[in-house]
Amino acid sequence: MIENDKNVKKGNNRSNRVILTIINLSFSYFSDKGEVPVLKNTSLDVFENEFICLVGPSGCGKSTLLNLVAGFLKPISGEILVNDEKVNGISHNRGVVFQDQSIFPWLTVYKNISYGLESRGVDPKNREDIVQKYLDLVQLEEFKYYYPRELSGGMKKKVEFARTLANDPEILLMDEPFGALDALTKEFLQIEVTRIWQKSKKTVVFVTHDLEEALYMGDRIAIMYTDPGIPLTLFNVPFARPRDIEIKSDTEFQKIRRNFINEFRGLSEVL
Amino acid sequence: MNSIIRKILPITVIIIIWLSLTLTETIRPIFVPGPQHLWKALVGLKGILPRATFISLSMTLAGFGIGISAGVGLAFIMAYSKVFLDLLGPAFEFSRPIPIFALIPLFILWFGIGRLPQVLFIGLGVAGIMGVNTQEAIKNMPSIYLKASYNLGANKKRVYRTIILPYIFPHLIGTIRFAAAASWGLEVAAEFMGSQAGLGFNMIVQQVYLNTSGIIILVIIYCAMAIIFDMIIGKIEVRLTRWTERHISESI
Repeated sequence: MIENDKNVKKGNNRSNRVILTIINLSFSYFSDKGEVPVLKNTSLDVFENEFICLVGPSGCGKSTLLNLVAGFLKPISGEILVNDEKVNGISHNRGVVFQDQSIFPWLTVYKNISYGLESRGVDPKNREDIVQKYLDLVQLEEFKYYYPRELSGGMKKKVEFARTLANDPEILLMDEPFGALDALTKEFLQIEVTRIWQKSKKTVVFVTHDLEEALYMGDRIAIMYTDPGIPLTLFNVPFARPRDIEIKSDTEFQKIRRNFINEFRGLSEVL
Repeated sequence: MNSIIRKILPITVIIIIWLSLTLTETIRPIFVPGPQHLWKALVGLKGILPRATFISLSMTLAGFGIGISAGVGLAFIMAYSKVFLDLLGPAFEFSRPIPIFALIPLFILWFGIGRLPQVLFIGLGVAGIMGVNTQEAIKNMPSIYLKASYNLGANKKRVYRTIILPYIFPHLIGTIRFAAAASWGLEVAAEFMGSQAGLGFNMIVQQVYLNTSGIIILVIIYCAMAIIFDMIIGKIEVRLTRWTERHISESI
């Protein structure tokens, strides 16, 4: 049984400062079939520099929560604060990496990565340096003038990641970014993203339904449930960094993963 | 090899039938002229052809250009600004079903028989075609590109210019080619509106003199211009849509 550790304030080595606060957020979807509540008085504190994973079964509202933080949706009630300021709409400071392919097919890799910089008026010389830096970071320098249609799924994801990161957001919101990729590419990107995040000191809110992914990548895990009335369960991931990918075979790792799955199975039987 | 034979077979058969009917004078030239009559007509028209062709070509291109700019431009303005949508939208919805050729007498009464109303007439027809399709294309824009671009810090104007416009362009190609083809037809109709020069006007002159071969020569010139224009659009399309997913159209 996963205990909601009341002492879970932050994960290993993360800063003490709360960068993102979600307070009593409520949201419902409306259709001709009526109102479907998805979030009810949901609250969460996210600490600076931490990598927190939002985990839960389909329909639990984790993507909705991410969309609300990003500003794509407006809450029915409640508040979202970033650096103690109320969030109002979309901002490059809360950069999003989507599940579906979102890089612009009519622009080259280079132009995609520089899109945010151009939009915000960064001058050409700096732009060039920044784009080059991120091209090297995701190891796509060789492909910089390629069009997305000439790239594989994994490469497109890397471009998207570089594009968002190049825009220097304080908070990275990643919505099941590897969901559409094959197992090998997925694992490769898990390693890459973790490596790049560790160098960058950004705060990451990472939505996934893949428990193994959450346990490998996250400092903390916030479990969401299908019933919007049940509050989030917070859990510290007990593994030190840097983490080897082989940790996935670790007994302790597998035990924790099984516990999570049983918790969900038990809950869905109850519900 | 078989494919090539299939492609040239129909036209070859038609040419053989045509030649056998006309060279043997089995059919009256007023209905179906033979190559000898067509040649004679061409020689007869030689004097007026260059200027007439130039007039018709320039009116078509001008009307097409105005129509595309107006149609696409207005669609964008109405998508961008709710104010403009409310102001102009109802007029668009109301005027769309009106067949443009029915407006010819009105055009003549209001604007006379000069060059300008004719070009505007063509522009109006092209704008109608382009406007509707552009509106649809914008509406069906995948939201993920909009979310991504706004999230990267672009403002509305930039999104419209750098995201929506490039995305919908391949979706408008079919409409542009259709509008180009239509603009030739609109131009002929415009010339029938009382033009005193141009290919269409000359077609009426030839008709009055019952000179079928002359009409056919003029029609051939229209066809040639339309085909060349379409080919040019095709070449430009290939250039500007290098980024789209290619489909192997023969096997699908």
